[in-house]
Amino acid sequence: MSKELNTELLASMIKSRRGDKGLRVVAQEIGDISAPTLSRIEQGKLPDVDTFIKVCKWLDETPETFIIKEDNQSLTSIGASNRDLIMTHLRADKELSPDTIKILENVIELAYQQVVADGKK
Amino acid sequence: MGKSKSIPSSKFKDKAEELSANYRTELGLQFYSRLDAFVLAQHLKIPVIAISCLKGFSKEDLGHLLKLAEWHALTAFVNNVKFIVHNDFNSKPRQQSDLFHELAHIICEHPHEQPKDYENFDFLRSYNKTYEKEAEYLGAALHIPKGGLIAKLKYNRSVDQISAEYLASKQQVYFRLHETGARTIVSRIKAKQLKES
Repeated sequence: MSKELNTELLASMIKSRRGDKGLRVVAQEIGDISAPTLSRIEQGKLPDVDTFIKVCKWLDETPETFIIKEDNQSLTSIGASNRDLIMTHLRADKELSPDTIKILENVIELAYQQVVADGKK
Repeated sequence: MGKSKSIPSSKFKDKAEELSANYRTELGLQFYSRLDAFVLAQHLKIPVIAISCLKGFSKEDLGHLLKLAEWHALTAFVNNVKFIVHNDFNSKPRQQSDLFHELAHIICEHPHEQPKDYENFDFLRSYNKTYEKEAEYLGAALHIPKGGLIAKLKYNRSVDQISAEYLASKQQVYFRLHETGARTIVSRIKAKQLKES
């Protein structure tokens, strides 16, 4: 079973709970996150794990509220599920859109094939 | 109230400077020489793939990544194979910095598994502040060696010149100047030489 974050739901609940309060004020309430980070999450970008957990606590919601589970699990040509591809370190702006993450997973798979093929030459 | 711990530690910083010097020695370079990140990757036997050379990657997806300019480099570990993919559409100094940063994570052997508490959220990235700070410091030390920085300041090289000589951004040079205290070190050396002359 593969899992994804419902960024739309997360964003809408944050906006709704924030109301008229400024981003900076709310970021301080959540704790240890910046206003720009909060703004990016409200725009639907994926937070990192720590930030996600803090936002859930602030919203008084369990993390599972925002997790979409899919039964159909696609196998990559590596022979592992997409979720088994370990994206170790990612040098980027912290919050990426779900589309970008999907593209980067494809990048990893293609790069792996290329490395293995080059290694066999 | 206790003193807050500095990240990374002084011990780590000393080790980072030592590694920067040692890799240069291993590659037959002078302590002040520019070390090319791609050469270091080859030396460490870490495959590096430029995104523009990725076979089978659609132009549409490439356009998406470049347009949003969100992504610079990644290190992946798949079936015991470690490799780096980087954005070669970035400037040359940026590419060097990104690659040094990724190599620093590998050299430090930063773990690639999701921390135990977050195993249920493996579809989200885990941003470990300590590891990022360590990679930032070591990456910069590999890029601009402390000894080289001091040597160039002694010869009155400007930030622009140092930046060009190391193929680094000025931001990276300023970071290293601040972290190493190179300017203070050189001032003291010059003052001592003046006194002795």
